[in-house]
Amino acid sequence: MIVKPGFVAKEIGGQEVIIAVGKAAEKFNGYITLNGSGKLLWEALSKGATKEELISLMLATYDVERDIASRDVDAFLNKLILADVIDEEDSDMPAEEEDE
Amino acid sequence: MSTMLSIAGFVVKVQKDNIILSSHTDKYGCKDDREPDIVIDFDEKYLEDEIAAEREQKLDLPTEQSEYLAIYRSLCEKLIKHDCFLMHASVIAANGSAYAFTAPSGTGKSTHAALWRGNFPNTFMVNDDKPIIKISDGKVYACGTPWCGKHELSSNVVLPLGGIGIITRSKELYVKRVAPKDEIAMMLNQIYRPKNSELMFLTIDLLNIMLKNVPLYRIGCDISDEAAILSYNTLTKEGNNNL
Repeated sequence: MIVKPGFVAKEIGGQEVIIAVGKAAEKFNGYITLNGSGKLLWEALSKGATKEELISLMLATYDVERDIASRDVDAFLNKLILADVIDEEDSDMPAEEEDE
Repeated sequence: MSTMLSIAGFVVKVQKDNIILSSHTDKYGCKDDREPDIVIDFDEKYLEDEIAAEREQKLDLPTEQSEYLAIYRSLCEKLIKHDCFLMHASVIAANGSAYAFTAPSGTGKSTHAALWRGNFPNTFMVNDDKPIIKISDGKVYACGTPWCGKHELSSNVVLPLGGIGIITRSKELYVKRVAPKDEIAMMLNQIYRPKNSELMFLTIDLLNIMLKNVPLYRIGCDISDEAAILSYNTLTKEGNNNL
């Protein structure tokens, strides 16, 4: 997973969101809301974390079962893939369910 | 070959003769011997690129009009470092404070401001279309500028911003406080977003100061006097931290 250039997390009006700046803003002029775990995952993803590392991060931070953590990470990544914010490197992503 | 202006409390030197801008010097002109805070000095190439981009996006505007808008974009980019940003809104003054109505073009923000003027003679226009929002000592101000919409309604004033009303067309009249986090899309669409990332981050910082200090409302309204009276009574009478 690679975050495309120009996508950054910012707080706007008290809400953490992802927006596009610079060249990326020409194609993407909306925003994506990040909840608490979303912010945590985004920070790790921006530093190059793999899907497996994101799941481990969820398990280390929250008191959740592995399958729940895995599902949450999938939902998070799917949201970003659909919005064209990240490039998919590996192809083991299930293309299903989208979270809020 | 230059125009000296006083805008948002800054002395601005525009190194370009533009007929539309010159027509605003009665309100915005200032003496040539002042030391400018901001100099707008772009070469013809920059202007041509700006005009070409403008034409790609929109109507085929007359050159003078495109140039006039390009000057504003350049000014707005420079003003960001002076803690100012542009918001698309119709701003009206009442009792020494400014109130901004914002919405996508064609919703009726200028109409709502006109209804305030019709019902409350103590009001006057600050800027009917593209005010500068200025942050100074933690307070938020709205400023008149020569870029103020087709009816050219503006005053060269800098007034504390008392409220922002997002206009929504509605048969049922209402004015309700809304949380900034629920209006992110609207606010992002209504501000000038520079292409340069650093300037964009600064703009977001300034936007956040505005959203933190100035009450935000949804105004559901038609074009009745009742709608204007309801919003006037709510916006001008509720207390807030910025005034």
